Amino acid sequence: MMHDVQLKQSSLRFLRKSTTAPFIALVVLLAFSTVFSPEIFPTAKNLTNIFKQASIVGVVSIGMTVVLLVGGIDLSVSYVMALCACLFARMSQTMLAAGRDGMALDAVLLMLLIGAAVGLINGSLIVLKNVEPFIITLGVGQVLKGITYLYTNGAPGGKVTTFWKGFGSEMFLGFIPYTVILYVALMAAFLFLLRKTVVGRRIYAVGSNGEAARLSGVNVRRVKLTAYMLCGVTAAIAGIMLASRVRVGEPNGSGGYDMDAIAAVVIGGTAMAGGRGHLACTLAGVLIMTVMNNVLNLIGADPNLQMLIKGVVILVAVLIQRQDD
Amino acid sequence: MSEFALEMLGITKTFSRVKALDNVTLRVHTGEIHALIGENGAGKSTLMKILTGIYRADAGTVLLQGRETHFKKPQDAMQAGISIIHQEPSLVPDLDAAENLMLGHEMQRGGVLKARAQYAYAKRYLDYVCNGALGDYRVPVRRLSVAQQQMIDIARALSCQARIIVMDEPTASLTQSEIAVLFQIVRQLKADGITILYISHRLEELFALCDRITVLRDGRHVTDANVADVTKNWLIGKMIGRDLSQSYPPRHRRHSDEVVLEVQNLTGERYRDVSFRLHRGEVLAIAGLVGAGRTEVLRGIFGADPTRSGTVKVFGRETVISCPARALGQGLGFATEDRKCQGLFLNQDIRQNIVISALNKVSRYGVVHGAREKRLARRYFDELGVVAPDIDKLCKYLSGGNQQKVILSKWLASGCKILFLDEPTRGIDVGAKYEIFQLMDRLVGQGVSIVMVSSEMAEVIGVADRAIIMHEGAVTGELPADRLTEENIMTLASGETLRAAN
Repeated sequence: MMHDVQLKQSSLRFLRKSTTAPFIALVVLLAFSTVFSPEIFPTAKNLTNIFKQASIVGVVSIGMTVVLLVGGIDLSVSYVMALCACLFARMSQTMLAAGRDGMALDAVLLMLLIGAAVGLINGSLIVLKNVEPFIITLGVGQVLKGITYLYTNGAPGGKVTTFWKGFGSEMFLGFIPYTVILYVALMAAFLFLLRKTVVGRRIYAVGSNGEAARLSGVNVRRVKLTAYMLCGVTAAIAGIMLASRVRVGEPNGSGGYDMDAIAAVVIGGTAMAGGRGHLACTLAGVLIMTVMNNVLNLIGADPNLQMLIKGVVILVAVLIQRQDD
Repeated sequence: MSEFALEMLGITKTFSRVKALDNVTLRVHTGEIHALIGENGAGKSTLMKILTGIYRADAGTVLLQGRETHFKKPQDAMQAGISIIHQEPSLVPDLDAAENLMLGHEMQRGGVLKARAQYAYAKRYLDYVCNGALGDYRVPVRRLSVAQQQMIDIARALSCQARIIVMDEPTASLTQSEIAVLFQIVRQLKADGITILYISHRLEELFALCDRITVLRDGRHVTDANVADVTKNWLIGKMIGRDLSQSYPPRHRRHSDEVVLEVQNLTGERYRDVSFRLHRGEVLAIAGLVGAGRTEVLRGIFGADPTRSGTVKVFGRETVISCPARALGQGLGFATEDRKCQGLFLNQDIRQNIVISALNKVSRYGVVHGAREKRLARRYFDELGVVAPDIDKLCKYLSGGNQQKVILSKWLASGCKILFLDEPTRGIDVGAKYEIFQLMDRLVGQGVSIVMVSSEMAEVIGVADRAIIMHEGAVTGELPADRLTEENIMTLASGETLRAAN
């Protein structure tokens, strides 16, 4: 009997900590923001803006969640974004020069393949050579950065087609940015993948206990490879979104997305050690980060102070998570 | 000055209601080589951990040279002149012999190492122990053999002014010639007045080396004697002489000639030429001492570790099982000894733990069918009687027995026909043990065949239809049910041969 009671209490605590805590934090933050900036913050225009800003880092954080769930990390995502943005813009420019103006599906597909390929390289090096994901993805990221700079000479260039210009700036029915629609769609797809598919179950199993997963007949290497490839693909998509928004391929434009994505995932309660976390909570993490940026800008806070506050929030989130163990 | 270098009197130690040591007495004369023997779980390690300050006894006193002492932490024991040499040398692999020796008591001035003085100091002890067996003390120890590393360990103990050295199965990973060298060193230590406490499962070694002997059994002191006065068989009798008071459910033995698993000359890193057959509906035990290579054989067959040579036939077909996923495909299951590290997903719920190896059965095109998944999990959850409010509880909150049931549920859900159970009842309380045994009997009744590794002889005798016994990586014998006795198992497990009369 005693045991049952204990069980119930601990599982309730787990539920409270890991799934609802980030949303509670988000609500609190929204309330504070409304108090501090009652004129601008709660307006539809500003909220739409927040979602728009959230969408790109949100897409990156989806793949990052998957990688963190298998117990890994991917520090190459910003460089995948930069490479894809530059390549995509330049390919689009060539197409426009040839008189083609459209969705540029062939270019999009190529970007997705590049993302998947980078993920494959990251994953292969990690599982075959059994090296820390941190250093492998850091190295691969630097290589990609070098390639991007060699290719662009460090200068922004290229154009995007009318379709992608519209995608980056216009809104569906006049109030839902297209980038947000894409983010929501990807979110739905990955929620399904993680919760309802065999691969999803195995991702959690591998992150939770790799050796037990192996001895349970799970091909651990394949699962990890899949995770890194998915992360590469979402980073490539984010690269296209970035190019669409700034309408040019900017080799420097993606700085900080990697850390913001990791921070969002961790604030959302996903364990760095893997196996524990919910993609839905990553959404809360992303919104917390974006709302914080937004409101600090609105109240005209010193940008240096903003950095400091962001850091403190990440630390607090991680420390709360630790207490749960 | 007392005649005893060490006296441990009335030592009692309890771990969560289990008495690991019950009023144990150990008396060791100054300058003798004293053997401490007993089965796995007899309490030798616990007693040594109390001596070296790792555990604190619930009751009892420790006297050094007649003076009562209390160790609060391992450093206290070291300062009192007690050192322990473990089975595997505990050195820092990238430091050299001299640096390892000085680790923790470096010679320094203001934080700067006095390298030359330190080397000279270390060299004295290394020369004494190694006696030329180790030419260069500047080589990182990871390049040295286990025997050489062990010498450094011993030299290190001496450099800490040890007067009593505990050696815990020091010969486990040594070759015959290395053992001879080690014995020489031990005798030399004895000649110089060092007291040695020698733990080993190899009875022949005790007769070759030791002066006195203390036998422990089930956490109690059984006897002590002069080695010269006793025989091997007398010792074996003392080590195992307990009644089979533990209750085992009745076994419904079924004889089948159908061979479901045949292993021939399987050789791996820690076992060689292992051959056996497993029949349909049989419980085959692999008995032997810890470290005999039993688990490694199971891991080799299951594809968890690579094997060097040998063949495995599953249901009559020769198969190469290169990874556990293949084993699963062949209808094999493996409930490991270390449930928390190798068996369970502690942070996942019971449902996910049960279905992880059976996802293909409850999914189509890679999409899991939620209702079917739940049904499958609940079926085994109910069938095995896992005690938990529901299948959505996290496994980390379950007791050892229930965790084991979840693991067994996983393998049953996978539909495995051959189940490996490694120490299936370790860390499980008596009631749950009984249930596990009942379950095993029910499973073999359903046509599942079981290979069980167990260090508890009573368990082997109570549950198995047949046993093979391993000693140092090789199979030393096979015993059918009617010849499964503790004497026979113990004899074969210590590498002796059974007398013809038996």
